[in-house]
Amino acid sequence: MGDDASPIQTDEQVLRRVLFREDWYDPKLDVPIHRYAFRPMRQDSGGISVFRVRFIAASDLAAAGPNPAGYIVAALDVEDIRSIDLGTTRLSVVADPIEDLPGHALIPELNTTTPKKLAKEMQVRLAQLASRRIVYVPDHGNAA
Amino acid sequence: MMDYFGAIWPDESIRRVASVGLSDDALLSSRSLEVVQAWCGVLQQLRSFAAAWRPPEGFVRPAPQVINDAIKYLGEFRDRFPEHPPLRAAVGPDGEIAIEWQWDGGKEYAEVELTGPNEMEAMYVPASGQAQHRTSQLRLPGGEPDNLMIAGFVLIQHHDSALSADERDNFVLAQ
Repeated sequence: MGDDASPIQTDEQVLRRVLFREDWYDPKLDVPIHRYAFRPMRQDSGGISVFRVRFIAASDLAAAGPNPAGYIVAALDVEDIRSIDLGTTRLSVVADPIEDLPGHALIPELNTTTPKKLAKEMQVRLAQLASRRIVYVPDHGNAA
Repeated sequence: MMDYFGAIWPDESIRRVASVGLSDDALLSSRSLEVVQAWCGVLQQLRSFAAAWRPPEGFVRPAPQVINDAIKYLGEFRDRFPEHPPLRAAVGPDGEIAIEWQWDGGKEYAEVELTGPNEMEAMYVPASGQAQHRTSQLRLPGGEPDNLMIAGFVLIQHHDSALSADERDNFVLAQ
């Protein structure tokens, strides 16, 4: 399988885990995933988390989260993320191995100190990308 | 019609938003029905944030005033642009509320975000090119209708040809 500290290749895919909530995921919309799914939380000072498909399955990633209602998981092409160019900032994806789960990586430009307007636009672009390929949806009941 | 909305929403301010422009015996076309349902859906979402909704761990429940502001804002928007209901309302981790529009298969995006009592931010993200932002306050009693400006901002960034004649007049006022 390799080393999840290895540099991320352009032809890789990464997964983003999104809380399964009806206001953050509405399958009736063209872009079902809300940008809040990419809003940095307090712990995201180094960037928001994604996971490399090479190292973890979507269902395992979803199962590892603590949200009782579960998670949806979206797959994003690294090439597409790196092509998001917002004038002064181009997004990147870098490996950031952690103990808890394999394949952890970061989008470092989107962190808790990113200027708010820029951060919001990044979130919209990422939500649009993520909405193209939703690879896991919980099979139980309704979203919270 | 009023009885129907009254049964769903005992709250007068919401009932007003949901029923504006409809006479009691209005015969709804499928498009009209779609529009009414869309308004109702978003309003129901907002109400659900105030009721039994339990924020996930680490998240903040929206302040009641922010929810009320969102409902009032939607009421004004509905009065002026009845054919353009938002598609969704969502709560952010800090209790902020985003009201969202999408067009062109989701390539175009607009949002009004209520970030705290009396505070709102608008954003328009075109299919290509840079996003545009406005920050404003909700209208204060006797004050300038900043939220009308925001409403017009959100819509005109999209196809203004999609606006009806009345809506276009309202937009001119908003500029």
